[in-house]
Amino acid sequence: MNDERHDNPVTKTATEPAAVPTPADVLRGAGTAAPGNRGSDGDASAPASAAIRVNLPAFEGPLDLLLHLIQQDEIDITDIPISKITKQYLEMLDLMRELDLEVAGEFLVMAATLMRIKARMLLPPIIEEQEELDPRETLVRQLLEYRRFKDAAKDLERLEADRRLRFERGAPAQLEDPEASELLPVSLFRLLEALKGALARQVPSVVHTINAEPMRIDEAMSLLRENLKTRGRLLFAEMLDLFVTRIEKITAFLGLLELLKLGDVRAAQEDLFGPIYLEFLPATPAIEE
Amino acid sequence: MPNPKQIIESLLFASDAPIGLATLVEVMAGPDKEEIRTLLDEMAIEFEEAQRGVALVEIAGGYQLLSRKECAPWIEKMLRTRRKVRLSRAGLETLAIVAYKQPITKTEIDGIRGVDSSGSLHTLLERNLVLIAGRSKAVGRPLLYATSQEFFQYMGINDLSDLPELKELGSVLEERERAQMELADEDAAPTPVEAGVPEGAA
Repeated sequence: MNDERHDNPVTKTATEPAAVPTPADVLRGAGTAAPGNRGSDGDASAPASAAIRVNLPAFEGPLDLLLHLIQQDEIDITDIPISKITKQYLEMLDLMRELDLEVAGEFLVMAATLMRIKARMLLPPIIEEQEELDPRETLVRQLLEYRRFKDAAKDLERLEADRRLRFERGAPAQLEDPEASELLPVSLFRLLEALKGALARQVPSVVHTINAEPMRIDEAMSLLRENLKTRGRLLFAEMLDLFVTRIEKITAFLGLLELLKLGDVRAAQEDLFGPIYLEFLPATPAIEE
Repeated sequence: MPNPKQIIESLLFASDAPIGLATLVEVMAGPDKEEIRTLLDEMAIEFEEAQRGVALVEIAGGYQLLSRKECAPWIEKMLRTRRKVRLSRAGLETLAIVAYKQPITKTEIDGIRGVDSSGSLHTLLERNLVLIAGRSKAVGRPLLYATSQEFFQYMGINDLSDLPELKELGSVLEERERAQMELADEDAAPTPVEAGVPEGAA
């Protein structure tokens, strides 16, 4: 690979001319935090942590990648400088590997094709071959064909977007979980945020071991009697507030029924549905204790 | 007695799918196809001029009332829902190839895209945008894919002629391409088998 027909007179391994954007630039492109270490091979410098975020233009395949490289350099598609493009293409594959992206087999096939074309172009043309085809011919045709449909796909995308804004009758009117019906891209930060939120909500539920100490009915009755004795009159609701848990309240209610039966306490109401008062009846002598 | 336009409008209102002209002729039992088409055309203009929130649209080989694009935010707010997930780039590419080159085999699609398209095709089949139109005469009798009726509905177009024109290949290449196409057509005239040819495929 010493003398090349096209642009690059000598291929230097060290650095690129600054004017030509390398694939690495593309990958880094609009990326927020590209990996800073691209110098040598991706050995020790290959970041193992999850802290990288790369804004990769997602390539649908080798043709897509090639088209990208061609467009980027504003190259005439029918006259591709094959060695230059091959070099850029291979660099891109290297970078993809370095970033630990899976490089599909099709990308490798295309790499081989590119190198074969490059080799053919370096060889003197075989004389007796019909019409002496440009070795790039098939590839160019393929690229052009692919580009047509890539453009057509964009047309379809536009139609799709328009249609999505028009509703027909009979669209389901029930409430649907918007998250379930449309998948939105979620950044890592939002995920972390969500986890943080979930953990924060988790905090108050520190586990306490509570030895259940159920209140007995007589205890509830005693507590009730004491309260009524000192305060004379209690609202039914106030009475219930004296007891904390549901089971305690129920116990207290049973206790109250007992007190009513015993005639220690009278329940009264000013009018129908009005608040219920509980009154201690001092006249009755305490029976127990 | 309601006038014909009122009847047509009520039919369009009552239907949640496009109504074909044939159905309208049958239901109306009076005016012929051309008369109804004229009525529909007039109505579409009337809807537009009256600046209604819905429009009379010719779609997927029929007529349907659809809401105005501009009203979409409010409808979405009310329904609290969005439509199905949009197609991926790979899906759109595959669909474009099927739409413009149908009927077509998976191998041919893969050839154009330079990658395997099984996944995309599967999604498109699942979403009824693409169907199997038969088998090719080529070796192995591979399946032929074509767009479905649902494709027109999904894209909001009436038929294949509504698709934007495919850009030309390169000037020189174009002619050779055409010559090859003709050859290929003679070789592999598709034979529609079980699924039959899609009605919309023109």
